[in-house]
Amino acid sequence: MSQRLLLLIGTKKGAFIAESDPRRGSWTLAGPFCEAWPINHVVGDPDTGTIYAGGGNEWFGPAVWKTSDQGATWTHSSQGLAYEEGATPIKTVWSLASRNGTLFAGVEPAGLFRSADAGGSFSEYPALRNHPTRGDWNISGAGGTMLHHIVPHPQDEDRIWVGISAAGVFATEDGGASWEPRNRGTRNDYSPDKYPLVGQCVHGVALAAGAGDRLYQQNHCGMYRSDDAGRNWTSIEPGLPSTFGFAAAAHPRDPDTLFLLPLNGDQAGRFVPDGKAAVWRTQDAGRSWQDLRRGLPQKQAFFGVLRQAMATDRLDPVGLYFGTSSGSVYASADEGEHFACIAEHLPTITSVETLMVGT
Amino acid sequence: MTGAVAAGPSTPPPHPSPARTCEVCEGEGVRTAPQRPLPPCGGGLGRGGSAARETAAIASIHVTLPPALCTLFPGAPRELALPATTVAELMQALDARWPGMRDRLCDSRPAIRRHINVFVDGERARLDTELRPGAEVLVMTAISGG
Repeated sequence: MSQRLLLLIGTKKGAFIAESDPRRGSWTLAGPFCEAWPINHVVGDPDTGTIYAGGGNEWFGPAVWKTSDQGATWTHSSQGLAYEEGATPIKTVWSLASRNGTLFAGVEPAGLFRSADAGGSFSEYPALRNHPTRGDWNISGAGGTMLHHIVPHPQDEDRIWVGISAAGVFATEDGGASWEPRNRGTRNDYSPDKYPLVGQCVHGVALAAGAGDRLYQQNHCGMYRSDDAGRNWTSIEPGLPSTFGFAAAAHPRDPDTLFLLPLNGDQAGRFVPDGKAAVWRTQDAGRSWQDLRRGLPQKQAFFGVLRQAMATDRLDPVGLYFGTSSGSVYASADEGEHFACIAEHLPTITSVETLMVGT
Repeated sequence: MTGAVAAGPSTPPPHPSPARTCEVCEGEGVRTAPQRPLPPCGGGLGRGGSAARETAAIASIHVTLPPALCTLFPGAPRELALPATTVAELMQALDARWPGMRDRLCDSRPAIRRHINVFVDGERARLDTELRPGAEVLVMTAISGG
């Protein structure tokens, strides 16, 4: 079987899968899957080729969907994906991640679960939801708390970072037994204390290539880099067109390269600045930025790109992909130098991830 | 939604226990306590189970399920008969036949999901609503979305 690259696309009305060969010159699209449920994140397990889709339906609640045949058949489960009796029920699954046979699921209200049986059943990391700072989460937010980013350390199974809206970045280094806020240096413009311990509204977290100590963050209030696993963050905003955006994607091999998609502002429409779409790339860890526009609409573009809707592949040169709030998918096979629209008229796109299958 | 609780005719009277919250109004006003313990939220893989066999046990009731639910559980019929004396027992019985179905209809409070309606003999019901032998139970998705 030849290698095929899959783009795993979550939307407000189901999951979609786009497929190409490694040249990435043409794409086919299949979907919607998951009975057109709102799907917040679709990820693939590179070891097994299994695809998982997390979301929630107003009628039937949260679930993680699973396909082992690239979308031909699906199952779904929420066994164990529940809080204790009396607690506010889980509304939806926001984020998924897979590492060495473990599937992680982040949910709303914010909490983290894991599955050791490939999405058949889940158990919670209770120390995160019971964190002593919990009362200060969301102190200046009004959108609820969602655990929307899960970043497992690729080698160390005890280490995980998570991003929680209006709460910030938290990390564990003991397999989830304890969690530490890691927000020092990130700003909260909506709090009397601009640099609190928790309460920052992280939008995206990306782990840089390398040993696992460099992270990038797109926040509601700025863009940041950390070189010490999130303990301290440095602003990398200068040179960017705004301080607001959602998506961040790190280069899979170069720790100095990051892709962002800044939007015009949180109270200015949340679309690409001046109606002209651009990905912004740094190749020096955020010291300077270059706007990448070739192939992207440069007039009357009023879309946004949501927090999990930009991703890279691992090919050479690296491919970069993003999906828009207006239902278009743009792809670049040359690290952002040129883009092409490979799908349009989809529902609002919530997530884009890549998965290589075949041999 | 205070006062909007339209429970079935055999719904138990309000109970003083503050620990259990009405699943319809979710704490805004009327509080009830179940006459029977509510089962924990179950769940499981939502694969298609074996087709349900109509069971001629005591207190058999007639159930109609919404099409969107049956789509999630291949093999689940739109209509079937089950033995149950409360809506909670009905949910357990459905979950025993199609693992995971209770999670699709109930949340962890526990309560019938906000956008699912269960009608017993034409009246909106809750998990603690009792079922008479031969009761007609209609499980419906609510009008919602956009």
